[in-house]
Amino acid sequence: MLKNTLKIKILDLHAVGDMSRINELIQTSLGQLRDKTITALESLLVEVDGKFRLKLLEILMQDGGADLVPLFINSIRHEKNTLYAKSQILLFREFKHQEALPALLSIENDIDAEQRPTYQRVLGRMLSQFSEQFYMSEFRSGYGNRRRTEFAADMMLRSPHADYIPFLNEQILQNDAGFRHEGLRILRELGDTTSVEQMFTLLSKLRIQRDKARALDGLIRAEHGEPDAFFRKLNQQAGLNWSAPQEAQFSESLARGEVNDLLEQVMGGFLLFEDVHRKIRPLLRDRLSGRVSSAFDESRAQQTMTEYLEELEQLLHFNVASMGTISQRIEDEMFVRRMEQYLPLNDPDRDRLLISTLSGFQSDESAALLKEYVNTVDDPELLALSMDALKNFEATEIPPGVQKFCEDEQNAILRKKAMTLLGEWELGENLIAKAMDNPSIAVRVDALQTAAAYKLTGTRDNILKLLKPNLPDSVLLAAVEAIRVFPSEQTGKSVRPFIAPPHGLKIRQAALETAFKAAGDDGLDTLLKMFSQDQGSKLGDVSETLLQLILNDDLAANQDTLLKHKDYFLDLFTQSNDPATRNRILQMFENMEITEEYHLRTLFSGLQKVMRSFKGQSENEEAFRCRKLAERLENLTKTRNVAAQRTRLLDSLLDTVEKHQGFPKVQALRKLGQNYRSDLISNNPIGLQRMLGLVGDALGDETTEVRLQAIAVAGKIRHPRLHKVLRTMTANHRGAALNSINNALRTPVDPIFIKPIKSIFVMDDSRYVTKQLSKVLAQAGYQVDFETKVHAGLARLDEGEGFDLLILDYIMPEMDGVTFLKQARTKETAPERVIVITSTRNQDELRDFLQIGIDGLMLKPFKMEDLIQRIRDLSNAVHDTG
Amino acid sequence: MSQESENRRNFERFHSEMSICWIRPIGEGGDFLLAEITNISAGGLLFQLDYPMKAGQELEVRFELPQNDELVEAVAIVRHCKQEQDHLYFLGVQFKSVKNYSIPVLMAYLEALYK
Repeated sequence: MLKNTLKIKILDLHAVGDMSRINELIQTSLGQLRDKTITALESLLVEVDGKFRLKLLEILMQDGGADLVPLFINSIRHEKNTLYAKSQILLFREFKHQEALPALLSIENDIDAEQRPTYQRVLGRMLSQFSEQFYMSEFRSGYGNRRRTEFAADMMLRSPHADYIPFLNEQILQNDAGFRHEGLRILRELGDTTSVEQMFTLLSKLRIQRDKARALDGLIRAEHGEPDAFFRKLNQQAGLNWSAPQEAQFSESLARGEVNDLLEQVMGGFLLFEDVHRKIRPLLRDRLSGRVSSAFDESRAQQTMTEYLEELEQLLHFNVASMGTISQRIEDEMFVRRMEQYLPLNDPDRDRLLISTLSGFQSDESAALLKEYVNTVDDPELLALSMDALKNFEATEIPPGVQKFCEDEQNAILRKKAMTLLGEWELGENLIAKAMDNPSIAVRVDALQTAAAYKLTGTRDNILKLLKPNLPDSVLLAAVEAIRVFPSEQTGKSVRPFIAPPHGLKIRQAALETAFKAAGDDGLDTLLKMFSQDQGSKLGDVSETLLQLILNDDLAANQDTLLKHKDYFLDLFTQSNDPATRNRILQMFENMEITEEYHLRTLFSGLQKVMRSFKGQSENEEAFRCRKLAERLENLTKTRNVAAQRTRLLDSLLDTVEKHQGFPKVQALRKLGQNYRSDLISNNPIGLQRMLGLVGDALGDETTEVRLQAIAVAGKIRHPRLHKVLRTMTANHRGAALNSINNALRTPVDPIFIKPIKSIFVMDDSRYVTKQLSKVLAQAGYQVDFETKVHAGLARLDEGEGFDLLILDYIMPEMDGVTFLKQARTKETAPERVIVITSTRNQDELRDFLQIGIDGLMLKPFKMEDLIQRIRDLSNAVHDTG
Repeated sequence: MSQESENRRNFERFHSEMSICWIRPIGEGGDFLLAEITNISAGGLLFQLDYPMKAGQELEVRFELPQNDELVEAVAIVRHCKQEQDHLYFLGVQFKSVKNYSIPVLMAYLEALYK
């Protein structure tokens, strides 16, 4: 009821233009029946025009209540007119409620390209206004949704804020893996002393969870026995203490098979993450009910527990490492001692957690302690952890514990880690080099891979020495790959012998790749010579690898070398039965930009030979591609030949004009006129300049016949420079000569000589007109210069820079535009094209311009777009020089 | 507090680099000038111009709006004029009327366009 009444009232008031009554009505109605008013306005907004809709929204924004956010969002989403939509978005930023931000984010995909800049500005404003609350709320919403929490965490890290620290200090204590991991990730960067204290609490919680999880995992995997006994074990491990009557009650419940409540209570004691709880519950329920569990439930519960334990372990280590990082940042010198005291001696993970702590707290003391671990402990797991942690520290000498493992044949993991440390520290190249000669193949391979990964220059000669045919395959492969990081001619020479049999295909391919990528300047040429001489007998099976390398490399850079060996590729195309190989060869030639005549010709004839092999078959894709490629080469050759022929013809015509005088010159000019076509000078700027010079000279020749013939030739060429000369000749010629000149000038300038407008000179007495026009024109891509004083403007044109267009104001205090243009033209310094801008509407004044001859008149005020369009039209149009 | 100063608070001023409009003093004839818009506020504009104007001077103002084929015509009054340096004046003008638009809607457009 209210809905219609309100709508009708508003529409009636709108009809009489009474906006202040509408305003009053809406405010009163919102105050009395808010929800109904909002509903009524929602429905009214879609029915009225955009302008009125914007006004209604302006009125609503005076209220600005959070419950109006959806109404605004709906209106923006459905607004068809871009500018109204933009205005609504701008209005939306007036909301002072946090709810406005997620609402605005929710329409991101509905915003079209034109509205996007406005949307992003407003969004940016709101994000800066509400970002902290927004990201914290997003973080909280991510409970059980790791990706959402991660996003919020990334945002928090991108723009850190002090409010995040107390918030995250709380969140890491929530029993959610995502909260804890992401919270720790941020706190590691931002956290302070308060965070470290909370992280100690988290450490206690995690250790308890870990112990309970291990116990639960043991129970799940062990024989479970009767429900009652299983229940008691569960109870015990969960750490729950029941009174005797409660236990009696549980037994009764178990006997009746009513296990749900019991299960919840006992599982609660294990402090499991929610998803872990959900996944193992079916198995525990079956066991307490005395039912046989499905194999799926059994394996799912075991898998879940394995992952859960891993996750807890990761969190434990991440927690202590993060504590170390924060403590180092806040310079808490006692932190490591405190952690040593905190972790009980009987904690099974004590050493491992201490190593993680040291990896976070990166001090000299931590480095020394980690080295002590490496040098003294025997436990491979602790050794591996210590070596991993040491990667974060610098070292000047190699700890004996690391050195010891560099050539350890038995422990591959520790050996690899030790070698990696040497690579990271850039120490012990001699140890790596020595390991390359170790009797153990695995040690040698690891050494070679480390040398390559860290580009250990000192080992290069050792690798080269190793490259002998009698090496075990795995060592040879590693050596051939390792030497790739040291490009030189020697590298190419050292691996080329391994491209051919009897070596295994893998080694040969690796050797080919190394020779291709690292064989120095002549590498590719030498390789292609090898393949050409081989004739496919030994290297055929790696030719496909070669083609792949060629296509993945810089084709343009290699083109000359590849074309030098084109016969090899054409022969391979003919001989190969593999469509992939033939496709790659065609692809290679198709992607080349061949310009050299020799290559155009020889590749064309080579392709013709290839195409003969298709004879008698219907055209398949390969044949089609070959034909198209050959056609392309043929057309390129033809074009080049035609251009050469034209140049020769023009040169010969001009030579004749140049060397003769008198009547023979008239003959030569006539011949030039008969043979001249504009394509004779297209792409031949030198020929054009020579021709203009010779015809220009002939126009000034003493002999009348020569001049008359030159006028006819100039009329045929239709170049602006010759037209200019002809125009000056009109003053001192009479009779038939003047008629010829006028006839020649009647033909417009040939469009091929029209110079596009690139440079513009603006002459206006207003600094702001010249400044703003220059800005607009420069933005449109023109080179612009300007003057505000007419005499300075004339002087500027005198400098002879050759502007393509003059934009000239009419009303100027010192000299009007007509006079300015006349003076510039008298001195022959005026640009050929002129646009006049003026505020005058006086017909006589406007006629003055039209009489003097201009190319455009723009009446101020005009739209900048119209001016630009006029210039573009002028730039493209054939210029009438008459 | 007046309605005008209230509006001023609601509309945030902004800086614009390439916003221009044509202006011409009413009643004096003469040439249209291009002025650079420095700020847009509740009911008016701040221009940069190379000519001084007297406070109270009425101006013809012409804007380009993309959805209009023609320039938007407005009448504004100079509220203050301050010389910043040689040939550079800051003119605060307030709109009196805009053809086919209400002043707030025009301002919303200008903000949408130039901000």
